[in-house]
Amino acid sequence: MFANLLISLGESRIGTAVAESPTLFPWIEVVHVIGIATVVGTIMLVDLRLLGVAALDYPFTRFSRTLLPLTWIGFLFALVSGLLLFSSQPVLYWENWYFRAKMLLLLLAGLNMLLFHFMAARGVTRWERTVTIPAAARIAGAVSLVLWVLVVAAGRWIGFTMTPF
Amino acid sequence: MERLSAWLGSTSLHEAALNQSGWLVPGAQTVHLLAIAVVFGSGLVIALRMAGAAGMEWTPARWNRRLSGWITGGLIVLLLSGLLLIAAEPERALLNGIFQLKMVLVVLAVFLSRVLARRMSRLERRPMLGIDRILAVLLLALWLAIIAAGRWIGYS
Repeated sequence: MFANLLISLGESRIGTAVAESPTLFPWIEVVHVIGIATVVGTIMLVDLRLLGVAALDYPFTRFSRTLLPLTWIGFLFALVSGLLLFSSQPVLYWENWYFRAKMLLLLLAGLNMLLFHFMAARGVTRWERTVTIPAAARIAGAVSLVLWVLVVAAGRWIGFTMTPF
Repeated sequence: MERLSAWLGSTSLHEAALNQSGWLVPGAQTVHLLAIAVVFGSGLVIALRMAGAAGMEWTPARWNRRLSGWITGGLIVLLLSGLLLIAAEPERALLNGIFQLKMVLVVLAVFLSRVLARRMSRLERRPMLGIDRILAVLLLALWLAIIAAGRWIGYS
């Protein structure tokens, strides 16, 4: 069932176009890199704020509210371009262990974000203007930082274990 | 350039990079990409702040104090990881027209980045001018072109 889905994605018009065009794949990669740079570049600033390393004079809720929309826009670019890259060789990507690791790491980053949102961020208005940040919030920031570094690394390793065409 | 490329290919750094190529090249690319995120993400936030679209809690001068060291750090890491990547595959980079174009754009972007940082630090004492905003957007566009060129080095 799932295998058939992967095969038909690869045989779809989009999949064959990305696989066969000599210029499409690199240009989609450019968009993917820009999306990733936006996600990681903005989320690092938020994570460092959570860790209490920098920007302590910027109340946390306002800091994240001004930066996280950029993170989401970047994520949308990375997601759509990533799906297009994936469609060029769905079966091979799916069988690649670095690809699987990257998807798992992304899932964990999302889970960490949800946990922070529903647990650690409670009472944020009490600490966001002080220099003391609760341990749970610091841990969420550190976990996010590590996970995104690993996502980037896994992505780079996919490129070295697959040939684009 | 041919001689430089040949010389780099004969150095022990090149040997080391190739012998470790299982992880050294993708590792250096990972570091390079993370530093791109630092520099580009900061440039994006700065351009949006200059346009009045984000980060309004801080003045441009305060944003500059937060990000200028962060950007400089990112640029140093980009330079070092980039040098390692060149040492690993000198012909792939040095003799490549797109790589040469990228280096011209990088020199221009680093220069403009210094100019913009200096102008932002003065914005506590003078009003923002159109040229300040144009500079921020231009710099962001340059980083985009540099990222595109960087990705294309591997394909040309």
